[in-house]
Amino acid sequence: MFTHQAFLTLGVELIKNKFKFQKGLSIVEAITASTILAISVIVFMTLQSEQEKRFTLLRKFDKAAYAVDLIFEELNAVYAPKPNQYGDPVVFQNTNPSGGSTQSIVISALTSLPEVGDRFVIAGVPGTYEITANTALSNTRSTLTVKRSDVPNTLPNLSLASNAVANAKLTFTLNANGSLEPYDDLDLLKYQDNPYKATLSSDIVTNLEKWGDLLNNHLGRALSGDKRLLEVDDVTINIPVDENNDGVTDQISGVDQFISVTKTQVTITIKQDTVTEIFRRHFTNGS
Amino acid sequence: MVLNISKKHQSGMSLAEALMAVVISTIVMGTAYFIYNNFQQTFVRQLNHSVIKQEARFAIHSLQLDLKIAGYRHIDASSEITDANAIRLFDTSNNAITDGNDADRVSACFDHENNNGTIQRKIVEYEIGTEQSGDTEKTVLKKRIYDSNNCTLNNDAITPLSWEPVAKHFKKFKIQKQNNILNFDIELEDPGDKIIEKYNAAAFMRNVSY
Repeated sequence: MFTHQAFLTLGVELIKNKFKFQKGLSIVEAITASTILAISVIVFMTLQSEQEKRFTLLRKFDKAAYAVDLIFEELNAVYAPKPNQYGDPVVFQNTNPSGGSTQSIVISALTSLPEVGDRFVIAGVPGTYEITANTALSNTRSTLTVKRSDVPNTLPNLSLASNAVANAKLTFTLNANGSLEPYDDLDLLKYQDNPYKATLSSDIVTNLEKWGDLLNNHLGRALSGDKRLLEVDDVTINIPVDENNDGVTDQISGVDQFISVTKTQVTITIKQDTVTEIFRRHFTNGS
Repeated sequence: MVLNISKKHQSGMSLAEALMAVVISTIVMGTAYFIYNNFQQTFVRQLNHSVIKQEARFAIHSLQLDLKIAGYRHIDASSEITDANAIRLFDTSNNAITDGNDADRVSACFDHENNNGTIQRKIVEYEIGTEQSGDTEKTVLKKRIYDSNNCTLNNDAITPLSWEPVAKHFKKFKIQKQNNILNFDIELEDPGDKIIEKYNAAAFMRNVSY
């Protein structure tokens, strides 16, 4: 029969045995444990920091998307899909070539003065011509100095391809102020770069400064390798013909039919840090 | 005598060991809490940011949708909408604001075809106001839309018309007109007051000619 004293004796023996085999942590074990803990903390902190960085970048791009949308909206206001014809202009009198290099032509029936940079075609004369200078409007007439715009600028002869005859009709295909073409390759990072801005027209510089500053406010200072570029291209899209709307492309003699539609495509590419986003909008091409 | 023997062989932790244990556990628990708290804060911030993004998106979408149509005249409408009436900007004291200056309120006039096929000229207005009466801070973007045959603005002193909330958490709402472009400069503050987001957007009004 166990007595109270026997219980105590057993307890003392147990305690003695316990401490007899207890060893504790060695220094190596302690260091290993601390290292594992430290690595875990570092990994967590790194992940946290990376997440924070990505979150910040996401916030920037979120706001930049609205800024890009603003640029597209403002380009909408610039863009004139149907060029202004300035009345019903015609060639006033036969052009008189001087050594085969006519670059001056008198136009009549103008309601307002065409601008430098406008482009037109003349009935009966091959090629497209760009206005490089003009005289003030007088009796609906103006003398335009022109050069060919559908051939490379490096060609020696950019004058009229052939003589224009009186009353030949002029059709303007592009207005300098309504075209997005001058915005092609606009580097929005260079909004404070004076030599670069000196190569652009004043309207474009105004927009460049505004848009560049806007993107800078939302995305922050650009680092080396970053990109904020606006590009303008004409793209041709083949749209399947489906006149009876049955979901099947119409065919003629077993060949699928398509219509080609040309649109002006504006692409804004933004590269910030490791992220690149491309924004696109199509503008109906009316020319 | 047995009790004396047990006390002689008893050995617990020393004070130094106990203190070290406490310090180490405090560091470990502190670090764990710090990490947890950091993740928690990030989570809450992202959640609040999503709220702001959602409000901003809806506000900008609504502003663009309603104001782009300014000046639209239905083909069956009997009279023109002049550019001066198509879009009008005001400050908080209802003074008209000219091009290139910041305004607090915007009104657009346009034609709308009702469900029964009749044409109705309408005015839509936007401004920021308080969330509840008694609030001092204006944080809610509000709009109201009403019929107006001659694009005449409602006289609130005679017929008060109510405003409907569009989006919350606004800190700033400024509109600027430049020819046929409206620029919106807005700031939203998250519910936890941790983030202020600035947004710039624009609306091209193709029915307004300048």
